Amino acid sequence: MNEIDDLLRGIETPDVDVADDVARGEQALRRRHRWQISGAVASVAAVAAIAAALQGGLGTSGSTAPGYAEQPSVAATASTPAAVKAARQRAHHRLLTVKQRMHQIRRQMEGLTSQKTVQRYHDVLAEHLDPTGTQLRLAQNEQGGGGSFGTKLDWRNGGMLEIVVGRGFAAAASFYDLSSAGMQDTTYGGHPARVSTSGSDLVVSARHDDGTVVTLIASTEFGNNGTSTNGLGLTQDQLLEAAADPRLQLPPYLR
Amino acid sequence: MADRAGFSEYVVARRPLLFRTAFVLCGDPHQAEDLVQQVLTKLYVAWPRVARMESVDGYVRTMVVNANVDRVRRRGEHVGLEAFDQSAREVDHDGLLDLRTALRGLAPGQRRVIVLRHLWGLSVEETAAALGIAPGTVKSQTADALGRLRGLLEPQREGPAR
Repeated sequence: MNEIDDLLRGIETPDVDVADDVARGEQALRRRHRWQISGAVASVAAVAAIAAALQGGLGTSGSTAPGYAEQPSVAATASTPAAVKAARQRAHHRLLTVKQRMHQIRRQMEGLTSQKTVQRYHDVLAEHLDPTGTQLRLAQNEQGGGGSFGTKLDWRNGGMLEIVVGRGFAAAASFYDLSSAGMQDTTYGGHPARVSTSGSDLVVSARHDDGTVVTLIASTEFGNNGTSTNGLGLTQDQLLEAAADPRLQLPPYLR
Repeated sequence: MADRAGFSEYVVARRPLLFRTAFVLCGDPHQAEDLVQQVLTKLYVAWPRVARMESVDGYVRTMVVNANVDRVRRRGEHVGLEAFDQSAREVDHDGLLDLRTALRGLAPGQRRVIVLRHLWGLSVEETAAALGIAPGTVKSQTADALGRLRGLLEPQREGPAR
């Protein structure tokens, strides 16, 4: 098909100076550099704004903010690849700082939430076991791990009422030697439950409708404190009733 | 501009071929020149990376094809020579009209095969690899395209339409 080949090769091409193509390329290159710098400046400004908003909102100290406002103007006047790279590195650094700050904030939020949860545990248990409000006190204690959460409360000034909330009967095993308590299956309110059959402590576990398992451990000794009082004045039935209360839930960040 | 060394030489060597490629794909000399300029501008920006590639030609060919696809999408045109108008018919003196009219009758896939086989001189296997189709399909599309072109060109040359 030489005729077709001849026709294709015969297509006349415009007489264009290569310098024009190079000039157009140079123009596009400069345009791209400007976009890169604008993008870097915008990133830095956005990150600085977020960081400022976060720090301003929480009013915390230890800021790494000084100099944020000045950075964009420095980058804005730069036009070399080195300046672009530097601006990118600064933006990356700011982003890391914000990520670390976000992590801190999340931890703080969890801390606030867990304090609230401990307070709720205390209030619910007091409602069942200490209606007069004379026996049960908060003890600045939190326990957690493996998706479980709990606290030790002071009972009668030296005794201990420990609560562990988790997703199974084994959840409390991380905090208490359940095998020493000789836990035995039973039911409470139609739901599976377990109660201790040996040892000096009273231990009960009750499972809720949603699968949450609440374990209560009443002991005459508060952990390492060594202060003890005789006669807790509690029964397994009382503890089971309290453990079955549906208001005893994991903190929101563990659900 | 030192890192763009070799760009000018490449353009001097390949610009005519790139223009013809664009012309066969889009069917209009003005649009073809726009496509080539657009592709070469992008190529200049990417040259330090492209120059290291094994097949610069293959990369640039793909750029031309994609640029034409973008053009068609942008303007809502069909892939063909619908933009062909009567005024062009009147100023054609060199057989370009025949070719434009004939190319109009080809399917987009047939035009791409013609570009690679007859403009770039690729083998059936190379064309198949470039287009991601079977060699048999290349052969059949080439035969169909050439037959169709032949059929479309002959009557134009014989008739008094021009």
